[in-house]
Amino acid sequence: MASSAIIPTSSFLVDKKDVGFSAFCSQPSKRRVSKKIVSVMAPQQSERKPSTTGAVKTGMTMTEKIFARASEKTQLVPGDNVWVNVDILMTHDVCGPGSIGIFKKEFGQNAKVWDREKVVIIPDHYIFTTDERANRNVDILRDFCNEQNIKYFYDIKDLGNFKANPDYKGVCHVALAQEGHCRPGEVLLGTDSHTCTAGAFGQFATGIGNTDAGFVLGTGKLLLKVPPTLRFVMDGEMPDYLLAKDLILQIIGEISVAGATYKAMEFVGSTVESLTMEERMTLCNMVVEAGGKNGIVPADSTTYKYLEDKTSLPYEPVYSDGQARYLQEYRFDISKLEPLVAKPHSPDNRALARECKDVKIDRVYIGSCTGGKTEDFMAAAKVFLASGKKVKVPTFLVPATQKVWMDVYSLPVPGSGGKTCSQIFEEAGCDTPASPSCGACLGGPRDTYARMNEAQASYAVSDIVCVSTTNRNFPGRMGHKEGQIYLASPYTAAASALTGFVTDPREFLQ
Amino acid sequence: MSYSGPWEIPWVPIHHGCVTPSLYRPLIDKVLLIDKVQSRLSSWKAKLVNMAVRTTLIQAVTSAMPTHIMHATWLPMGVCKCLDKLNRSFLWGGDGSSQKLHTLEWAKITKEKKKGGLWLKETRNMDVASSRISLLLSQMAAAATPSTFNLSSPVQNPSSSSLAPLSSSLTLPSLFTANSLNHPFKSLKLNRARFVSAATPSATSAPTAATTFHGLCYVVGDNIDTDQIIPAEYLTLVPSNPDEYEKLGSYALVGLPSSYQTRFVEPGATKTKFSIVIGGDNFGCGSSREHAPVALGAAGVVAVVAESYARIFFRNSVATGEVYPLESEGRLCEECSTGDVVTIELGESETKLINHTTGKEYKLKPIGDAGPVIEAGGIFAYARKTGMIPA
Repeated sequence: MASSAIIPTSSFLVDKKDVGFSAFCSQPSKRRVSKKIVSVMAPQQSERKPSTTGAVKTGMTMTEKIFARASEKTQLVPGDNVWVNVDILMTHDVCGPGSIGIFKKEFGQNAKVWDREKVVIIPDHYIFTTDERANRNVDILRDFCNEQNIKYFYDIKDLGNFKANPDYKGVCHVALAQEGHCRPGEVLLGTDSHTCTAGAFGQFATGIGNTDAGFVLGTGKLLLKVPPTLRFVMDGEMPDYLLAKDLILQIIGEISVAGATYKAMEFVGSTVESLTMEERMTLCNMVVEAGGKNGIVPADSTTYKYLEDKTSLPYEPVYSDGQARYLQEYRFDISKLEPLVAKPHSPDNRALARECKDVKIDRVYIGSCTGGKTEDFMAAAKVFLASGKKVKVPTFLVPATQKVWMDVYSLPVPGSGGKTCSQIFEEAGCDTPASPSCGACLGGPRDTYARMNEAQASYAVSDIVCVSTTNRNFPGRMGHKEGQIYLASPYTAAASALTGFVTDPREFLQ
Repeated sequence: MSYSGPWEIPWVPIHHGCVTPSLYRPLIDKVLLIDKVQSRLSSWKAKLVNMAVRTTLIQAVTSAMPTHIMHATWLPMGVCKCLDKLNRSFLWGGDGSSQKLHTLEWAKITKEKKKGGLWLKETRNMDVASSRISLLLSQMAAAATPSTFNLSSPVQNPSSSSLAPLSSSLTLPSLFTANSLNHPFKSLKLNRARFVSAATPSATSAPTAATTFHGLCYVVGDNIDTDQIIPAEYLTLVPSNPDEYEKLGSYALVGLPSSYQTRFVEPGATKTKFSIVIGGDNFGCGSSREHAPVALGAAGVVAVVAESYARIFFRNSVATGEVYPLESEGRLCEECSTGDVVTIELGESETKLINHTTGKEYKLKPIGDAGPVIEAGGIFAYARKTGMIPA
């Protein structure tokens, strides 16, 4: 039983104390209110010798500890380059074929992967398309998995009906969590920048390229540099019009798109502890948009409960030491935050949703690993329910995985008298929820559902404005180069759909 | 077309921006290159001297007249052809007023003497050779032997045909023959680590004491994300497949907004004429797609010089060996313009970028932790070298 592995250690209690102390900052947007540390590459650490009891060691952050365990070292400091043992390697249909090609070229055509149970292959990016190369790429994955006898391959063959594929899941990052591949204390690498999502489970998870993935396929190891950690302490009661998306947009707006380059982002605080697993995943998902190497949330009872029925493999969570050194600490009082958007064309182009109420929009997109999970759809449904009106612009819904799609069609929305999300969406006039995949978050082949193409615009050829629950809004992200994408939480996206302008969800939720 | 500034060299046009033939027509008027060659030729009275004398005059004088400009900048094809036509006409006794019969084709005339030609130089070949001579001199000055330019083992390299091995073509005649030269703007490339044969990692030496990259630069701004470098719709192309690798190159930087007026790769082409990309902050941010550095490398980029990098892009560049990711000390993207001729010199003690068009030099940051991996030739070669995986 999973519960046997989940005995809180004393270090967990130490961490609790660490988190709940001192005064809150009154200005959520102020940076550097309390600087905890200092030099990251402190050389004096290496001169310290352990005492005879072996107990005198420098405190390490969670990320450093995971690196230490994975590289079989007792002590590490940020900046060290170490060979790390990988627990899970994930790849998908876009980068999988390239990684496989490199693996075969470097290790030989008949080489075998280092561990057939630690490779998880999830087609999700370009699935429901007639593009031949995209379809061929899924076939390449299938051939490789058959040849290597890969245990976890979430295959799809019937593109016309996703439900006819029992193995098929959908968006890789959500599937990894739902299938129990994310476990505290482990190292998870994936050929996708949003692999950092899995950090919500208290593990080190980051994105790598094809060549690195090909290397891991053969050896199960990778050369990684230990990142220094930025600590984000979020306290205060989460208002009922805010979601984790608003929190991460606030942070990215604060530190900019390169503010966390090469660094780990650790999220702690009472607000974080109150978040559900899916919300924590949203928080860690966009860490890469700040340049971050990985995002991490300490595992707690919420994590264990989520994992109870999903994995039977043992795991050992790690927690930051009390004396761990951080590069910088940021404090936020969440109770003072307001709903945010990221205006085109950068995720750090932060603005208050209410200040953009004159921006007329052309469409709304709710989906992707960032904003297409069950709770995200529940949130959107809540807003539609509260309003009772119909949407004024085309509203595209793309559930992340099969499971999410099922939930949208079966779970009742609180306060609706038993209606499911899908019913509420239908009454509001949204598009029918589409087949689960990454969809138009990153554009994709021309025939991708909800892609921003010239041909599909019913009016304006350029400057199509979309409010989306996705993660990036650089030029051309969803297809057309001139498309304007406003990143927002599901609440804000739903509210905007109802008015046809960028709208603060408090218009409907209060 | 600006001539102002203390750095103006007589005869040599200094231009910021893309070089086009229309630029050179008025410049040629100012520089009087064609007029000068023409008047020199007509002063010798072609009819009054024999062919041997005419051949010598062309070889010694008119062929050499454009070299002053050639050391500083490229001549457009149209100008080269015009100069060749003047030489050709003079050779056969034409004096501008009457056309003489050319009994042997120019291609044969320009062959080496031992192959039956007169070894007259085509202007274009001289242009390219002069840039190679400059390159060679800088390499020799850095005390590197030609063997440091041991380019990648061609066995598994699908683009080996585009890598003209400099070391074997250093004899003077070969510098002028068309065969040893490919695209005139092609600069030397780092060995592609990903195509290194697994059995011979040591045969492909990466940059050692002195490595130089030379070519035209393309300047971009801050936060150039991977969707702009290679839009997602092209990610169905698999980089480890040679045909698709080339195709990726044709789409490099096609996602840049229309505010970038010069296209990085011309429509229909698979290669770019800009071998060095100069960027601002956070270059390569966004996705982990390795297609990004691969597309740049496949298009012909050898090095990127940015103010700072996003981590995954930097990592992928190092792991693949596709582009050499260098960091500048300041905002080079504001100092250089697309089309400037630049040289990057990687030295043991110092790394710098020289902008020939502006005449300025800039210090670049040392490569740092990634150095050993790049020097080994990529992550696989490094792992073999350090014993992580068997050789």
